[in-house]
Amino acid sequence: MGLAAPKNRSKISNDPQNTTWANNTERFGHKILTSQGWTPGASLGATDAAHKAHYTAASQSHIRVFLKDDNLGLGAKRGSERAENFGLAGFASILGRLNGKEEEVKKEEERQEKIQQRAYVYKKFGMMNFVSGGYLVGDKIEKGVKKEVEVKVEVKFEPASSDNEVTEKKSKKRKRSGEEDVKKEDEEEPKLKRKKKSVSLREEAAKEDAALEATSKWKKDKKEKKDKKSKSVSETPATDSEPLTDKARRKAEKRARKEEKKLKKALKKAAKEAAKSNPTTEDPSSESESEEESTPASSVPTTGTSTPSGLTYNPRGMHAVRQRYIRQKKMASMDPQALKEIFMIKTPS
Amino acid sequence: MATKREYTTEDTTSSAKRPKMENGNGKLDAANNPYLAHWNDDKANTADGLYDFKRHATTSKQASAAEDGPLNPFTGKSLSNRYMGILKKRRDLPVHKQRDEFLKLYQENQILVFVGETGSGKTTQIPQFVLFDDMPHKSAQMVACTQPRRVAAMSVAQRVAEEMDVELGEEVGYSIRFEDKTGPNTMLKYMTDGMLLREAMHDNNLTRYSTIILDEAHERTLATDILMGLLKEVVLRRKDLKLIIMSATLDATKFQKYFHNAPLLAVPGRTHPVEIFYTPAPERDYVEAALRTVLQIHATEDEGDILLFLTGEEEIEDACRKITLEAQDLVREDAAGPLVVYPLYGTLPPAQQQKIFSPAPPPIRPGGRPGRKCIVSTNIAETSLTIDGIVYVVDPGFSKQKVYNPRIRVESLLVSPISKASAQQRAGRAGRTRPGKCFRLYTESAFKKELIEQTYPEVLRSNLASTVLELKKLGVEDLVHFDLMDPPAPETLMRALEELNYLACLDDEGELTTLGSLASQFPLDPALAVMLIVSPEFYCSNEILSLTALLSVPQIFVRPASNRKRADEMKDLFAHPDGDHLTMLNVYHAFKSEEAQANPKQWCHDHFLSYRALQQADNVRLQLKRIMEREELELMSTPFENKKYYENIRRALVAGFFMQVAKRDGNGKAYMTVKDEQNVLLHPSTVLGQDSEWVVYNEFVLTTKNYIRTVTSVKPEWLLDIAPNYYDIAAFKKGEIKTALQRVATKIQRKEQEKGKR
Repeated sequence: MGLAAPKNRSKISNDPQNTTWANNTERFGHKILTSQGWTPGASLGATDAAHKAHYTAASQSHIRVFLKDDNLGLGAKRGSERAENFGLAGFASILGRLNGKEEEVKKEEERQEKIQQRAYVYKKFGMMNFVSGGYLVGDKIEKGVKKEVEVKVEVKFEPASSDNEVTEKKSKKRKRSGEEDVKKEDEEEPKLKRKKKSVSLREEAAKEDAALEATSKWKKDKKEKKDKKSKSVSETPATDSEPLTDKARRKAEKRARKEEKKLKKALKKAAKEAAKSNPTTEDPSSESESEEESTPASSVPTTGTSTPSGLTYNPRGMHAVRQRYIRQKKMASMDPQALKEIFMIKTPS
Repeated sequence: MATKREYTTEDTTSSAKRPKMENGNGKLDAANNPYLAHWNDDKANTADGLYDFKRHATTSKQASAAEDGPLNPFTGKSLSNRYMGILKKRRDLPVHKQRDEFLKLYQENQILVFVGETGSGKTTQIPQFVLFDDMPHKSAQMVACTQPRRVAAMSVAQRVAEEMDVELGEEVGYSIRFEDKTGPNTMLKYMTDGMLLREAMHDNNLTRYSTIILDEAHERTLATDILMGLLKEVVLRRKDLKLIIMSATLDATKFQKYFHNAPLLAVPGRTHPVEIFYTPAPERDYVEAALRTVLQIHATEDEGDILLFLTGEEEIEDACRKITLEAQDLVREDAAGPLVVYPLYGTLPPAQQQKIFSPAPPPIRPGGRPGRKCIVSTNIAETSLTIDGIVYVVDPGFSKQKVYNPRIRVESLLVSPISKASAQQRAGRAGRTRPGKCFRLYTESAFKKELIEQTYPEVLRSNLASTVLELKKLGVEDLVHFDLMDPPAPETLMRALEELNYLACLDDEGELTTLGSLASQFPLDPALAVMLIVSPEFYCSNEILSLTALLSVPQIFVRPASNRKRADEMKDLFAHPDGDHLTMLNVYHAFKSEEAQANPKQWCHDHFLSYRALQQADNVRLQLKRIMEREELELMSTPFENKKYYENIRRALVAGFFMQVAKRDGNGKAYMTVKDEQNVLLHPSTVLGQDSEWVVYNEFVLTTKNYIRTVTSVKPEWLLDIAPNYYDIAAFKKGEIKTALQRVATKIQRKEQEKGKR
């Protein structure tokens, strides 16, 4: 608990265990029990019961409870209770070395490092999820191994999404980054707004799905993925502006041409287009084909990365409005007519 | 094993020696007893299907033949078509395959442990198997099958009556607290375990029954545990009584050991494999993780309903709201099919509870993504309710558990980790209809390290005052060596004994007093029972009777999260400045007024009261009134105009609850309980003004803080006057309470002296 945590004051009684009562042997109950052959310290029940081995500690003394006033999951520890937060992790590794467990310690450190790297990349660009498409034999992908098509999933980084631990769920490899993320979340937690959360929630769900699918085959295409990742990372910024579907993109091109002729309507159209691109216009299942396999013949991707997209991040609410606004502004500044309108310059056209 | 065999041999010999014993072995009775010859005649006339059945020597073949009809073997009427349809389904149940095996073990042993997972059909089928072999009607006895819950007893009895093609209440009946649906013909009786325990009080050997089946023994309710301890002794006294312990958990060795190594019969349930997933790392917020998991399942997994376990009403309602919102977004984006979310918890009205059984919603448009339902439940869905169609279970690993602390006499209701057994039970819920998945929101190591093996049975978690009173009434003298499966902590037993002693239910030797024996007649907490019994002395037994009924039903005030302010305003209408007890009484009187009775449902709704609870209170009141009349306790009231009307009620309250008194600590809001000296706060729901120095409370609970709930202000003079034994000032610990009491005592003395002078 940091200093900023809410104060929860409660008065503790002078004798919260009521030892005055417990230690008093003059009581009626104590008297009766001893008169029936009970000795302090013994448990009740039949003498030499056959099932005595099954007795629990609760037969000796009442069940102890502790007040849980947070939503911490089972097995999770508060920030201050984790070893690495007060430098004990390093200490542990020294002890490990002294105990001659060099190899394990090294492995652990490598693991930690990897977690950190991943966390960095995640923070910077967001994560990419992959699904195995079988093994590469010679020059073609052998589909016999696994019928499933490879899906390249692009998940955009979302600034406010701090809760990513679920994403890592069930994926052995990614598990490692989980701990790191928890830490991060702790820092960012108070900033979370309800709206943002809800968006991220959905996104996480989608991501998790991909992670889930990938789980079984994750290890197999580790290498492959690494290559791709470096590629995709460089590509990410390009797709940042707008996750357009192919159809929408074609429309955009056409419109761009038109705009040269009909400058006046540009602003309006851009707005409309933005509105259109928001909801996923195509059926997600049809889009889950990957570009590596075969790009759909009908559509011609305009950028290097075609973003498949049932799982694409679609800006909604505030983000959508903002993006539309930016786009409009861009359009307007490129368009002399609009600029004139904005600056209210009257010129004969 | 050796001991067991001994029993069986003894069984036959003893009955052979005493053929006249009414409950003796039926083999002899039916065939040879000339006095029972008319039985044979009857059978010949009505074409009794069980005519040539030999008690405890039948086979499944015979039984099947009898079941096939054409006449009902028990009633002699012809069987309906519906019966045949059900019969076919019944024969597909997993237990049916092992009918012969069961019969053999049943016939050879006095005690049998039967393990069948949910869905094996044990609750409905085993008692019927027993009927065909035991034929209790031939010796004018019954087969009893206990259930931990009232609803289960009722619904199972209904089902079995249909299966046997008889009317409910005739051959098959049920008996639950405040409702008895049995008749002279009843041969199979489903009942709550508490009911059987009550019967045992009057008939220590349970002679009415030839076979007793304890169902759902794995739930280890207080009554089941006591019954097991009791029956373990009864079977020694009654060699003809057969006992079947039915459990759903795999770990039945404990039961076997407990019952002298009784033989075990296990029947596999009709369950499908369930894949279990753990999180790789602990979750920071289990509620949020749960929501996310549910949404993820909804968006990505195949068709199938979701069951999410959370801890409390508020949490559940909140989660339902959030899931619904998010699911709507998903639907709007066409990322998933429709999702309907149902809450499920104990205090939910039955009509709303029923909703969980409605089918999942259809796709929005034909050919679209299939709909799904999601049930967010407390742990009642873990064992008590079976919902078909659940394929995904989300288990955060927590539940709210009641635990009693005998030292400070507080009952805590806290969120705590579940047990491994419980986690397995939850997971098992996913595999009822087809292979399922269980998502555990904790790591595998947390499962192994942080969870206890078994949930603590109720007997270890409860105040045992009423249990001790029952045991005394049942004739158990030696409480220390009473053979319970899990003996309670000695301190818990001591506390119970002391409470009963102060209430004068037990004398100083630990023997049951007349008052104690009278109090045990009431299905109430001893304090409540005593209060009720002594209330005529305070001229207010009518009011105390109402109050007792109100205190033994669930909360009567409704305070929906969406309309708290309005609910509080409505509560203020009934508020009595002296406290909650009187406020409740006001509510009850208003409820019984003509104005309210015109349309009670609407009236309750308008006043933010629980119609169900009030109705139940009314029912309980009626039952208690009958007991009072039977015990010749006078019903009377102080006239309302009398200014002592409320004072009398408060004094009567003290007579029962003098051990639950708190005194204000200084001038603040804090109170301190008398004797145990624990710091407590008034529960925020109270209507009591801040100026009451001494209060009596109904409950001391630990939820987020130490709270005392349902409080009424009292005068310290009453305490000294009504409960001088407990308020023996010399025995008090030095402190504020002692000095305050001393001051009061001297004041009383002075007053009396003045009176004497005059």
